Amino acid sequence: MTTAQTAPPVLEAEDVAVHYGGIKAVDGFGLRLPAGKIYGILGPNGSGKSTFLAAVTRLVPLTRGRLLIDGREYHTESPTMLARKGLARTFQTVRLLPELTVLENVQLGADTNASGGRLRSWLGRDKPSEAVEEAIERTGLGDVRSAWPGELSYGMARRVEIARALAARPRLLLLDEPTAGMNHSERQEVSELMRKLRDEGLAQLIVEHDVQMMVDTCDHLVAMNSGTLVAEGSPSEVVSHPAVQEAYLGKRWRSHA
Amino acid sequence: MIWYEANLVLIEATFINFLLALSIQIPLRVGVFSFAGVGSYGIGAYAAAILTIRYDVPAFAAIGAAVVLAAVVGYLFSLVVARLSGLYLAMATVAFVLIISVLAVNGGELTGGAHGLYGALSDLTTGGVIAVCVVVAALLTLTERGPLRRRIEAVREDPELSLSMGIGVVPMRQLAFTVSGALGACAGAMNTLLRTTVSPEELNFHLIVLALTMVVIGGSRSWVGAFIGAVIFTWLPSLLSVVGEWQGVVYGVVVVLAAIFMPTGLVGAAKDLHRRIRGRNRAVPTAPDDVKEEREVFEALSDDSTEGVR
Amino acid sequence: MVETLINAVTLGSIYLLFALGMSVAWGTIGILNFAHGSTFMISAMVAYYLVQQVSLPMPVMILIGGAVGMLVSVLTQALVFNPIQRRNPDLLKAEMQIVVGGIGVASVLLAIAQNLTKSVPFGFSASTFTIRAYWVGPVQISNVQLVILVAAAVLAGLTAWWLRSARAGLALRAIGVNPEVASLMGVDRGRMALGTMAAAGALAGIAGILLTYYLGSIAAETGDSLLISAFAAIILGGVGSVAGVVTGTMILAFAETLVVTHLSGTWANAVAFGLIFLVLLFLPRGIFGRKEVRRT
Repeated sequence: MTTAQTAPPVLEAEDVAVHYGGIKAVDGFGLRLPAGKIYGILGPNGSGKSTFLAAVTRLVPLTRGRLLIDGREYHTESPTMLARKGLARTFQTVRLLPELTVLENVQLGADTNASGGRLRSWLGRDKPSEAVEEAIERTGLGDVRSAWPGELSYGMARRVEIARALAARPRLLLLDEPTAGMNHSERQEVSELMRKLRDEGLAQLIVEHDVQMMVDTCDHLVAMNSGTLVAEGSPSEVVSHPAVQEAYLGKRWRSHA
Repeated sequence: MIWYEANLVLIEATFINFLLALSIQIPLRVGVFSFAGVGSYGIGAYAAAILTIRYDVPAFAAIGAAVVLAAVVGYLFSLVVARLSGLYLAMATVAFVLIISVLAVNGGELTGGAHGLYGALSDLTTGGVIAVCVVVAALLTLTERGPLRRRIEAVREDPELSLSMGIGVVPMRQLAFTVSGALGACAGAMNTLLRTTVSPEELNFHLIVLALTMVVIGGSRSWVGAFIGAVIFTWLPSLLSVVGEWQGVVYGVVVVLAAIFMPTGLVGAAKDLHRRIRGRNRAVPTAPDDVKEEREVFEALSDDSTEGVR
Repeated sequence: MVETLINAVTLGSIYLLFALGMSVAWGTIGILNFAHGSTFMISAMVAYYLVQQVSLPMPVMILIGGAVGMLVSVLTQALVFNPIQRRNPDLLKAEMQIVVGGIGVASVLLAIAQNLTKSVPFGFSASTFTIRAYWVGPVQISNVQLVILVAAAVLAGLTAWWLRSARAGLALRAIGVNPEVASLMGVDRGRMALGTMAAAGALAGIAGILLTYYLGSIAAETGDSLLISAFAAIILGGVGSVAGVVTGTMILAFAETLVVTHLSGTWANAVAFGLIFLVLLFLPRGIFGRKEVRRT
């Protein structure tokens, strides 16, 4: 114990393994994510990143290992319990409900933790709550509130998903390739938003392909390959790690800083 | 007024069919393909007959008791079939309906055997039936607005996403089965009390087909669709009498066309048209190719826990 | 006693011929055809009308039945199921629409048959075939029963062999396991679907002819009532497995025969329904169900 870290990490994964049908998608991977930090998982296709996220969110079972939120084990709980504990996530593919407008899709995120008790949240007033309005504003979706998902560009649709996750006022945010399909300026906006949220105390875990974005946004990187941990540390450390560079097909990646 | 009296039976049948259609539609709205509502219709029909004939129970009490009974059965049934989904679940519900009909036939004195029961006289009026339907429609409207509507959409369209957002899928399905049971029984009970008879022949595959087609054609998302379907299919035979003996064929062709071209029924098709006129689109944007990564792997892994039989 | 046995096996063989195509189609191309029963019945009905004009021998009748059944199923696939699948990429929704579409087709065929026959059962008394009974030791067996038993055994055996060994058969099984991968490997799903439905329809048609000979006559509604029995047998044995559908149909036939002889006829239907329930609750994959078979 070095620095005063009395509070347990918001999210902790210890020696996690996910095996199925002869494939070891994740095999001995772990991390400890404290509040107010952005951690990134870096890795090539098939390295097990998304499977790990699925395990963390309890959509797939663990073969081995432990998962803890705030120091308490949760690897036997259901995904719904996790959401109510303040975990929100986005997915790799766009999963917006086509019959609901952008506003309604975002409201869905807030419905989870609506204040005033669950019954009221089911039958109650439908005025968008403060959390919803804030989420829409912060992701720049004010103009398209009444649009349907089908009318949005891919990048905008992904922003709606981020807004939906934020509307739940989560304590832990998991983002699975949030900027895929976005243009450069959209990516910068997302990166900026994430850093602001971090400064407000939100713990975030992001899985991304875009190495530059990870380097610019994350406080700490974890590199993954073939289901295991390859390197860990500050972005510049990890990115210049030989094993990491090799994993990205031997390309020598140089920081654009 | 004269038209009303001449067609009273059909008018009453419209409202009965409306409730029957709802018993199929409610599960469908949360993504469950279930015919158990037709079985509940049978439970309700017989319960009302037995209570009225043997114990002289007044109409609304008999209906109420039938509804409660079928709701409980519906809930228990949902527990029993909890691990099934898709077509397997649908066939289990068909089996449920047919088992009820076999029980009715073999129920000896209680159910009147193959002949059924007659003499279920009561004080149920057409007005009472319509009042019940209005109340049901009003309650259902609440589920078609606001937070409840959003949650229902989520559970139906993307159960996995719902779980991730803290929306319980299983409780919603259980609720759907319970409500479906209640509505089906309400329809069956009221029908028995209006017609004063019930027989096991009513509970056949044809009734299942009728209930399903009302929803398929009218609309599977809103009670309005169920009502439209009920109106169409209650009155269609008399309209088609022009076509004479070939009505069955026309009926079947309409169903086939609806299955191909109108998956969300008339109401859904109307909404689509409305949107298209206003230049708006329904599909969800898809990912550019370079983003489809571990999706296959992930889907294969979670196949076991979310699809089909668990 | 032995005769009851023979009757049960014969009944099972009819169920087998009827359910075989349905099971394979469901387990591979994912189509649960609710019009299968009507296909069965219409094949027999067309043969009936033909035999009223000219007295035909049984083999020809069987061919006619097979041909009509094949045609009806192929048309159903091409005109109804295929368009539905193209319009509904989501598997769950497509399934439901296919069930509804199948019900629609069944209604059309049923209505046509009811109108033409005026709901009077029809049989092949005008055929040149006459029923003869043979004595095998102390036991009596009719020539119809022999034909049914042989036809079922041969066709089931052929199907099993084909799925296991023939290239097209393996391709079909590949579709059942993973349709996307299969088409990436060059399997033409559309053509395989038509072929599968053609074979399934032919089997149903043949079953229709044979059952009509066996019972003496069938009615317009007979086909649809077989659907539930077929379904029970298929899920009991495991979807997509030939060994499964053989086992399932035989168990079902034996159970029903026992119930009819020892209890009462009205409970016979309950056997199928009860079986469906029990299987789905306790052994959902069926006896021979494999994990690789696509489940819905």
